[in-house]
Amino acid sequence: MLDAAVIDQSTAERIRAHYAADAEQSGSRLMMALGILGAIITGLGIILIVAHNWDDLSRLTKTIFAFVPMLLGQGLCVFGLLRKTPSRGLHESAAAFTVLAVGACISLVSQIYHIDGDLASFLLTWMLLTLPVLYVMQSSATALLYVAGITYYGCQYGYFEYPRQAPYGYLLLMAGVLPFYLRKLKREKTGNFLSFLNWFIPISLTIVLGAFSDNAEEVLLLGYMSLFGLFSLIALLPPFAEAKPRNNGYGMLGMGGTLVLLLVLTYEEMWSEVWHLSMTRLWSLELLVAGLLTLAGTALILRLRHVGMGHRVEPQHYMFLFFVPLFVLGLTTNVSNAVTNFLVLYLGIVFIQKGTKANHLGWLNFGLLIIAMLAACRFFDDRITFALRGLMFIMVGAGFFVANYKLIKARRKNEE
Amino acid sequence: MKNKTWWIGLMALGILAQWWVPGQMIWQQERLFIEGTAFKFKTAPVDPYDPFRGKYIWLDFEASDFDLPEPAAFEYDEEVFVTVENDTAGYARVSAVTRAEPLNTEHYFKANVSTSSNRNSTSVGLRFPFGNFYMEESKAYEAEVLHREAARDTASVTYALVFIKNGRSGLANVFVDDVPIRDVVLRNRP
Repeated sequence: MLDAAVIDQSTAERIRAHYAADAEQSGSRLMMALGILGAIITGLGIILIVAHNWDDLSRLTKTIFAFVPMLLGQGLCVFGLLRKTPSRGLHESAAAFTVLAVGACISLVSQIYHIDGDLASFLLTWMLLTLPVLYVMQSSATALLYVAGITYYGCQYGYFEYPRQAPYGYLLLMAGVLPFYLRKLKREKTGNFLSFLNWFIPISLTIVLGAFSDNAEEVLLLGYMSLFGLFSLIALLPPFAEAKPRNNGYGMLGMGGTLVLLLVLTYEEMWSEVWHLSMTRLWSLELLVAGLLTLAGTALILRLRHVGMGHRVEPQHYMFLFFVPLFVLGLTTNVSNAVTNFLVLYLGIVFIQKGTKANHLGWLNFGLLIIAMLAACRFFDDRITFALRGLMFIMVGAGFFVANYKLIKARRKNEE
Repeated sequence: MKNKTWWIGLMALGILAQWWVPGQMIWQQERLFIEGTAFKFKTAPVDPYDPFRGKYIWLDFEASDFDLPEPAAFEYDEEVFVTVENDTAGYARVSAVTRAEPLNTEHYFKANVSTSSNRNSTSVGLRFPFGNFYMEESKAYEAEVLHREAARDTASVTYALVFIKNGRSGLANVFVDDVPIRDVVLRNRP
């Protein structure tokens, strides 16, 4: 292009410099990813070697060995901090390695002395000892390990151990990572680790929410619907709204979760559980959790409106609010089941309209897919006659064809 | 620079905590092994698995079922104080299970109730806090098989040596006929 005089010498140099910088950046990113992966795999390897339990060694020798990996990790962390030119890769891998070595050390000491502690309190101690490493080293890899660890703790405490108890400690532990996460969001906005955290945190909350259950699991439906609603609203906030859908875990999980839950509730059996819920069971921990989540969602809608982002809130984001009266109705009548079917249909239409308006095939087909899924759920519903079900399928199939055809035709027309 | 000093100070505190947790675990156990009294608990080992700590034998103690002197109700998982003494053969037996901490002896430890009972119950199941004996992974299963075979021989006794003092307990070793279980496994290998 330089020879053909398309660009001048200075432009050519700028282009070369741009690609060289790009290559260097992606190279260092690869080095960092490999470093962290290496540290994590080595750390996990140490845990397995520790688990073998070398009983040919004396108690003292084994105890000394228990501390060696931790000492090494801590040494690397301090070395990374004292270096004049900080290296992100060294910080990340040293921190991840230290965290795993701390877990291995406590496990090994428990093993050497046959200490019979329960898994939940071990995980709690381990994660609390992880926090200083996370903050001092500003390590995102550690933040991911931490979120995974506290999720395991929440599940162990709330689901696996008997008697089951609500894992309130999990909420405090989650609050522990939030200042780091919010600071990262403010500073970086996008980035690989941040994208992972944007998935890890909502997934963790989704998994552990069910553990806040006492004796009225049916009310969890309300809690989950509000949680997913809250996620889809968080996805509208500035750092997430500009991100690609795959990097916006809140949006994908919020909308996906809402849809799955609504589809499940198109079955009458699910509502019959709600119908049988007595008033004494209704006033429960689950109701409190659901109420708090609904309030948080509502507050976020008001906030978005207040800061001039109200136009981002679309009908699908209100689903959790529609669901509240629907649930109350479901306690005394059986009309909620039919209404849920219409709600899913409405959701499909909303996305079809969105796709048509924005000339976006993805949204359009998502809307059609919702309706197709609804039809598929009703395929096995013997309350509807075969003829009606057949008609439903033909209409959905024809809808797919006509809508896509129309949109593509309109696009071509615009291009001409 | 001042900022860096802060971070290093915080890291030093973190490192201190990371050493303190396993350190105090070791300190407490070592002190118990020196100051506590050793009791022999008759047991049957079973071989399970812990994802972090590896293979262990789970000890099923004969003394873990206690006949209450008078009917009493205990809740599942409730923490209780278990007082022990030696029987005529020199093995540990539970002499009392109480909610309140015993005052006239130091030979007691904390345990959890493993059964739920009503106020007419005359016995209570206990889960001792020294039920896991960690072994090298290849030996745990062999130890269980060995015990099963030894159990056919009624003269053979498997017991856990446990140090006890003022509510605390620590498992030191498991023996089959006064020989450490690890040595028995090694001796029986072809």
